[in-house]
Amino acid sequence: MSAGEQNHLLPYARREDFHVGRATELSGRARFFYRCLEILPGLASWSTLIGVVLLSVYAPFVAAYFVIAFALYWVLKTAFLSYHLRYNWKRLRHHMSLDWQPMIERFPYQDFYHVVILPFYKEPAEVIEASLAALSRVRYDAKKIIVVLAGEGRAGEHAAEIGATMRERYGSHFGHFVTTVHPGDLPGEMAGKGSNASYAAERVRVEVLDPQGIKYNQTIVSIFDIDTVLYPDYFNCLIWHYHTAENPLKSSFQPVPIFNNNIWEAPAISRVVAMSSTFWEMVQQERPERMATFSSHSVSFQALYEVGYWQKNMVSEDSRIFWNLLMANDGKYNVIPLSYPVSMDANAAPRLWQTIGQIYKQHRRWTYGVENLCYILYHFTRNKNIPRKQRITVALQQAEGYWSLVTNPIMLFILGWAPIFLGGQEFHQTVLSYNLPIVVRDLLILAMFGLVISSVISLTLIPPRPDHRSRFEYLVMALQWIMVPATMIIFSAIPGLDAQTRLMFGKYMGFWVTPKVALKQK
Amino acid sequence: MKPIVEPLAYWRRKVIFITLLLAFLFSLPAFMFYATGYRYDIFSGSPTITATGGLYIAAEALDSSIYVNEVEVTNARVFRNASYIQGLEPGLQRVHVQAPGLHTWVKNLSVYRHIVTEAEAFNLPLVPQVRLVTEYRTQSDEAVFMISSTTEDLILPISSSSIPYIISTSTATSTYRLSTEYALLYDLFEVKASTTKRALKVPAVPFSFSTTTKAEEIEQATTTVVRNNVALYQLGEEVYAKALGTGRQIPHYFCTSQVEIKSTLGDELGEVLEVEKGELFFEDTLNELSNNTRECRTDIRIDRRGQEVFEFTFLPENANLVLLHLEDGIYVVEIDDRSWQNMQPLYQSTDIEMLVYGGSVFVREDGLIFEVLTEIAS
Repeated sequence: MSAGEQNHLLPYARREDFHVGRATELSGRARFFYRCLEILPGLASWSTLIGVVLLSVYAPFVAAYFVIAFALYWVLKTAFLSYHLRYNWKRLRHHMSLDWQPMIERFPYQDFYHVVILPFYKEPAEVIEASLAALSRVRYDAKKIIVVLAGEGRAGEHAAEIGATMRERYGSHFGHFVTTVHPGDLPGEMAGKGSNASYAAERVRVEVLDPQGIKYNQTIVSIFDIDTVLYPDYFNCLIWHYHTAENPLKSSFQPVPIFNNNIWEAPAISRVVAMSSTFWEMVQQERPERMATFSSHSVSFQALYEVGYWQKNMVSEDSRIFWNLLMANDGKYNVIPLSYPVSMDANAAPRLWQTIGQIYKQHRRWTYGVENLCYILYHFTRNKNIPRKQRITVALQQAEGYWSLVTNPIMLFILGWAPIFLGGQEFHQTVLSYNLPIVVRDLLILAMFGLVISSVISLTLIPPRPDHRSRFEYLVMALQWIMVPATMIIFSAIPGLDAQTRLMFGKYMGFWVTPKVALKQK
Repeated sequence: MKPIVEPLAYWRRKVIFITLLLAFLFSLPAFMFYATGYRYDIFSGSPTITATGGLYIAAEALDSSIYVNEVEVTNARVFRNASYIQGLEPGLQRVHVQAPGLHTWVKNLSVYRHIVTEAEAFNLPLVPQVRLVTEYRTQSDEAVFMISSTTEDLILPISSSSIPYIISTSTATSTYRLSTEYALLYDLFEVKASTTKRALKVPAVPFSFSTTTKAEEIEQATTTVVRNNVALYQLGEEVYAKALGTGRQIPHYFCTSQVEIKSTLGDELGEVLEVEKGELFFEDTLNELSNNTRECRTDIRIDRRGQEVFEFTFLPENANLVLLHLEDGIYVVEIDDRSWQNMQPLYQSTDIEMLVYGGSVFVREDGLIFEVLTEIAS
């Protein structure tokens, strides 16, 4: 990219390594440093897990006390997170009950345009149509909405056909309806949502914003997964938060993704995993200083333009765009939680084993977001304009997050028993050895009360029961939370460890597209 | 106009965080002390912290009750057949395990602070439980018992069987088929009778605790039975159990932990733990437990009540209990010799033959073959 083409970028975003995706894209010492950072998360996680095993063998008493301390920490952490969850649930319900339209009257929102980017790959027409239909029903001036249906060239004729069909059905409803097909063979790009979305954003800039004279700082881009179904007041809520934000051009806006579109058709394991992801986002909504953007989110076009849109060479572009913006703005960038939902599909396939496989792969992709930690640590050593305290705090928070994601469930539910089996006869005959499983069990039962809260909240977030579903299923939905210890290990810790190990050995992952199918009603 | 429900205030989050952090810091020592065996008696006149120990009692019998010093223990079952009793003050504890219709198992066990004393209780039926293995069976596989006045008198008073069989007074056997089980057991008894001597008259060797393995002892033994790294052998008139393995392979009753020795010998541990009078130091406890090592002996003599041992072996599927065929019957004796060795009769009679085959104990008496059951037949 020439210097002239880079003029719109913020100074830090003009660095050659600003959009670094992996160590192999760098050279010299920077490459070595970045490679070390890629090794770090996996090394830390494996060291912890192996360390607990070794401790159990060579110092079982210390290991036993560590396990008790860890179980107690887990109980209190559960209480802490449950409090945040419950609070956000209250706020979410309040926001859903509000009539946002009168609330935005005092703002000059009529000057604003919303670009809605819907990247898709091979998803069936009914999934795309459901999203567009919901978009057409929002309580907002549709003429201020620019829909970009962003197909992927790798999908063949499918993208163009879907684009044409949807344009015919919905083209006249919105201010603009743009269809794009992202070429599959552009140099320096990885196949994935980021490259497709960036291509679409640039096309809409060239084809709509510039010709129409629409200001970038009055354009809010919302990027949604193709299965996203909007609630009616999404844009009103977004506009309210945008105009009340301290610095809206330096902020991203994060709704709560609720994976409940197909919740009545999805199997229990899929529901638990999906709702757990929702709950995690709800918890994060109450501690925004730890937030990064995730999945569907909104951001001003100007902010995007200043960093060259989403990264095209990596997997977790939805979070990376926030880190790009944070670095380019010297740390003066934040995420504003909307506490307003968007509905998406729970990951489910026609067969249970397919569902389990899909969930595993999806979570491995999500947890591959650990590549962002390398990016953060790398640029924190480069961009000294970001306050040191902020760099240290953010680095520790993110590192702890990725470390605990992988290690905590395994330590708690598997390695917690290691001292008993590996501790030797001398340990085995002690009261401590006999009391360890009892104390840990009792603490975990205490922690299960957090699941009761989850169970109650989840029941309030599901769509109305279809006529063909039995009332008995409410009971199943309440009891399904007993699976959480297993799902935490199978769909959180193990895929996370898988992702970190791949990164550690330089086996970089590509973008795996979660299949979105319309499940048949049972 | 703005939403009423504001985002969670930072100060509020901080207060909750600090509260939970304090809860963690204050409750963690309590959990650690509790798990190590310390108990705080708030209701006593002068509340004190006591270092306690525990008992782990395995009891196969269903519906068995455990009593420690005559007090029934409840809510202590950790598995279907095992109970963990904690919070016991150090010292000698008398443990009863009893169940309706079964012999009571009684043992005095020493409890040491921070240590769990393990024991395996066994409770054989008060009335021997037998299954008659008949020579003939019906076409529908029911046992047929050819009755005579003498055999009926023999079985009924001393034993109980819930296995149904048909009593036949007829000697006509054409409608029945020969039982293959009977034929096999009959052959086995015959082979055994022709190859074994009933009594071994070898000069007795005085009993002593041995701390080293003497391979020649086993070599001298006429018969050796090995199971799970424990060998049973006979020297003279005595039967011994020898631990063959190392480390965890050695059953707990062969060993004494260092902590046990110190507690028993005189409060060396107390000196380590109590730096000042009445003050217990957690770190010292940890060090003490970490340095805890076991001292094991290798041989335990099996109690034979002064009778001649005709035969000995392990009780099927068990390496802690010995089956002894003595002069007045068949007994089960535990190897564990802390306090006394519990001995319970399995089948009492003087002129019998014993056979252990396929995980079962069989007896031949007056030409009849019985399977002797170790639990009450359902």
